[in-house]
Amino acid sequence: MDNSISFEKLASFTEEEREAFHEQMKERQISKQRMRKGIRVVINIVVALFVLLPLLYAISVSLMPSGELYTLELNLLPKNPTLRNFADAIAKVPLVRFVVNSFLVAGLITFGQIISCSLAAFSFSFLDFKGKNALFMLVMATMMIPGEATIISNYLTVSGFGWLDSYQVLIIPYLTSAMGIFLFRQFYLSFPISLYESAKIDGCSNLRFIVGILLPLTKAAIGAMAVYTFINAWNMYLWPLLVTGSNTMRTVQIGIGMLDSDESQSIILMIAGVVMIILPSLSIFIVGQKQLIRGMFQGAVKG
Amino acid sequence: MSELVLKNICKEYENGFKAVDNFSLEIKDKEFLIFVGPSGCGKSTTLRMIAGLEEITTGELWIDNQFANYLDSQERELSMVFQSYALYPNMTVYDNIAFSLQVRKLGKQEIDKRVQEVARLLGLEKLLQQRPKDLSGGQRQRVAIGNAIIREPKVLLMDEPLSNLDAKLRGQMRVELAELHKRLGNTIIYVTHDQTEAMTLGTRIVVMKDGIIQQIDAPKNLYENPINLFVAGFIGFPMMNMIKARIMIHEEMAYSQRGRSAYAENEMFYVFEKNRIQVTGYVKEVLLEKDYRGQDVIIGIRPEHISDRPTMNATQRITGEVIGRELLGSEIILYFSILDMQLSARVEATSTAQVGDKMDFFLETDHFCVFDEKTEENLMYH
Amino acid sequence: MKKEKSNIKKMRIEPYMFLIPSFLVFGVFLFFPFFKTIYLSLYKTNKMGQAKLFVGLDNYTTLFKSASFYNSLLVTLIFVAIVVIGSMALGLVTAMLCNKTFPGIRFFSTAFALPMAIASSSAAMIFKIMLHPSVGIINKLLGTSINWVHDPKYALVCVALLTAWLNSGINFLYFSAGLSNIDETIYERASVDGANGVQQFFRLTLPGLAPIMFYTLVVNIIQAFQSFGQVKILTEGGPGESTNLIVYSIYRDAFFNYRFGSAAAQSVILFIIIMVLTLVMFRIERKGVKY
Repeated sequence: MDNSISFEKLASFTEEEREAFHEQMKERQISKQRMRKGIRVVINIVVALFVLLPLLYAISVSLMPSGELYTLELNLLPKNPTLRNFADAIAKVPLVRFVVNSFLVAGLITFGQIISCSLAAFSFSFLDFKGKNALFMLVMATMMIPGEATIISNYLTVSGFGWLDSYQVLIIPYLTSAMGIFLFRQFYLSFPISLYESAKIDGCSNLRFIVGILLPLTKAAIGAMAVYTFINAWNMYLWPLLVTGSNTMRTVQIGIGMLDSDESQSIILMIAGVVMIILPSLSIFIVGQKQLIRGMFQGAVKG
Repeated sequence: MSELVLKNICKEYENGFKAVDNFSLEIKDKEFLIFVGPSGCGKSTTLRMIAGLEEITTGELWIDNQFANYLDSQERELSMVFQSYALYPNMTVYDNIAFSLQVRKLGKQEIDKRVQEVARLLGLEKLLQQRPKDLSGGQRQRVAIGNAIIREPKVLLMDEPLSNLDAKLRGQMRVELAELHKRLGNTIIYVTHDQTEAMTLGTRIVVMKDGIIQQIDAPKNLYENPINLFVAGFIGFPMMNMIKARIMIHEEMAYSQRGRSAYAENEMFYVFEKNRIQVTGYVKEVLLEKDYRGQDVIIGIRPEHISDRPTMNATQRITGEVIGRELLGSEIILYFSILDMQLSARVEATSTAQVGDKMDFFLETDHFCVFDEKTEENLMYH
Repeated sequence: MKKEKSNIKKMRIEPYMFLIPSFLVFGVFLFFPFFKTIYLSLYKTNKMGQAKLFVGLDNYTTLFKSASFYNSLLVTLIFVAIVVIGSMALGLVTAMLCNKTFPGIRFFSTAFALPMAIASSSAAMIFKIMLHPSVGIINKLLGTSINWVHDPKYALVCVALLTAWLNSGINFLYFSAGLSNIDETIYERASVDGANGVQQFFRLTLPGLAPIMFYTLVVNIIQAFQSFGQVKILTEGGPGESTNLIVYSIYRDAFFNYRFGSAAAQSVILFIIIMVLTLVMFRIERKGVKY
């Protein structure tokens, strides 16, 4: 039975035959759709496995007793999973301290960027002043300067300040970002200027306007910005590598490198450490993903 | 058999909403068929089911004697013009028109020949290298049509193609579409919510409401012989006048006028407030036969059948107060009120009636439609 | 009268006040070091990084005579090419996979975006064990015994693929946003016009993604040029100098060899490369992608 049945022929069918025909055609259609959906899901699973492989493998290794890793057999999953590696890693290096440092640094950078960027974006979108466009172009132009190109001078500067191996050296250079200013400005520009004007007429000061009206209205952008900034700050590598030297100031990404030595067990401890320090950034990402997408692309689309 | 047959087609969404209910229709060759109705009546859904963009829940769709319910859009070999035109923003006008031939891998020369032909037909020769965003609404419309007709499809589907144009352009495109249909001679199924478009373009019109076909007819019949109150009200502008009246017969009326016998025995009247309009002939027979004595009905009468002076046909007088006056060039629409009803009359432009005037109007009783008050069906429908 | 005047003055200053926090940071840690870098690149420095002797363009001419520098440029270009192509391809494939809804789409879209949350250094450590010559999973799965990161043939490709993987997450987001911006009805029209899935992809989807594709390309190139952590941890520029990317070379010259002048000169060159690339691409965009 197929599509090529003719109208007349179907008309000659009895009621039951006709119904059977409909049933059959419908079932065929449903199975065709199921196939399509199934294929899509299967491809997704394969690609997702491929993308997540490093992560899954890291988790798997971190649970292996060290004997299991050092075999020539294919060892995708631990046979006798253990949490000992995590305990060993924490015992070997002050991982907790590193995590506290990283949280402190990333948290303050995030907070600071949101403040400084929203202030600047407010000025760029609601106020009029001489050189506004030039200054804004200057901010945009900074996106073209790769951080790595200025790192030497920055290093020399902060060592001149005597800031090496301190919290401020990790935080202060990152207290603003051109991207943040741009993102907030995109959001602010989508509000009518009358929003600002009517607040002014009501006798609202600029600062109160920002805190009381603008910030609550731009929760989406702030959320996106917070997730993005925190993750990037958490993952910083080159700068902390240069400017921190002692265990008390190291951040997680640098501290974890201390687990990397030539001992045979070290490699598994290192992976256990990596898994532990990836968890915070992954959780923040998973929780904030929706926020991040909405905030980042709402602004981008409008621009 | 005809190219397209829809048999008991239903569309039910997962939430249980029935968008289209039991839609049956045979579409003949070279027809200009219109689906018309208010928004949400299921006309676009029906069209999209024919195009294969929407699944058919139950029923049968036959295209070219082939069971088509489950064919992909690609396999149906139909053309469609979308309401939003759906032009490909990244392609030139040329590629937009040629697209359906290009994907069929026709020869470059053949494609070029046909694109030029279509462009000439639609007056797009100079725009072929432009992109859609540089075109005006009317030009985009033409490109969409060009893409649809280049394949010389036997059936061309159009989903509210003129609704994004301004009034003047719409009128102009309407004329062009009618001409195009004559020239190409293919079957067109055309969806619109605009009854004027439906009446001027269609050879046959399907009026829909709430997913159900109300009436399928030629424009003239639809206008003169609507099946129910909805069709009567939906088709025609200004809208058909609706007058609620009671059917009365002589015996009950005989002594109402100061004891004098005013009427002959067995005469029948429509009565509303102080107005009495005599019912005669066929209408009377029907009403008698269906026993409407003493019952309420709704009289429908088109504005052009109300006159501001008595004529051969317009004999029944009613009195009303003019509340509005619209000059339409050669004629005037007078809006007037009787009791709490608002009626309209299409009169000659020489009328001097002014807003506020109390004046007499004369009804052509031959053109009355009579609807049952409850079922809203046209008792005279034949 | 006097009060009004001070009011006007206040109005004039206030807008700048809001800019102060940002511009203070930009000034000290971006503008100043930017010019300082240019300044340093014209000097010979001592081990403390102090400019001691003006040498003009000497640092640059030395660089352009050095085979090592050319190698570093070449390696960087190959690296950037692999990273950009790889991460954009992976981002596009994953975005296409999540373009239509299906059961579990939320899980998959999180999975595909996930690499953007992972630090380059953490990723490098994971790859270090995956690529381990004897116990690494890659060799076991492929049945090979290649010493990936210590073989000049493979080291660069490995670091590049790792980076492509890391960057694919945000590309997934960019392309997903791009796809959702394409008008759904043009696909309906294309289906009625008779175009199959492949034709729709090449004639509608890809061109429809062109604007976001372009933006993504610029961002990806800039990002790839700045890769550092993975090189430091996985290969330290080696074996030989086969993965001595320009940023790593800057780091090594400055902080191991204490040749701050030469490192500064390389920084300036890196900046110029990125600036030229960005400007050229915006130029191309203005000409090519018009809609």
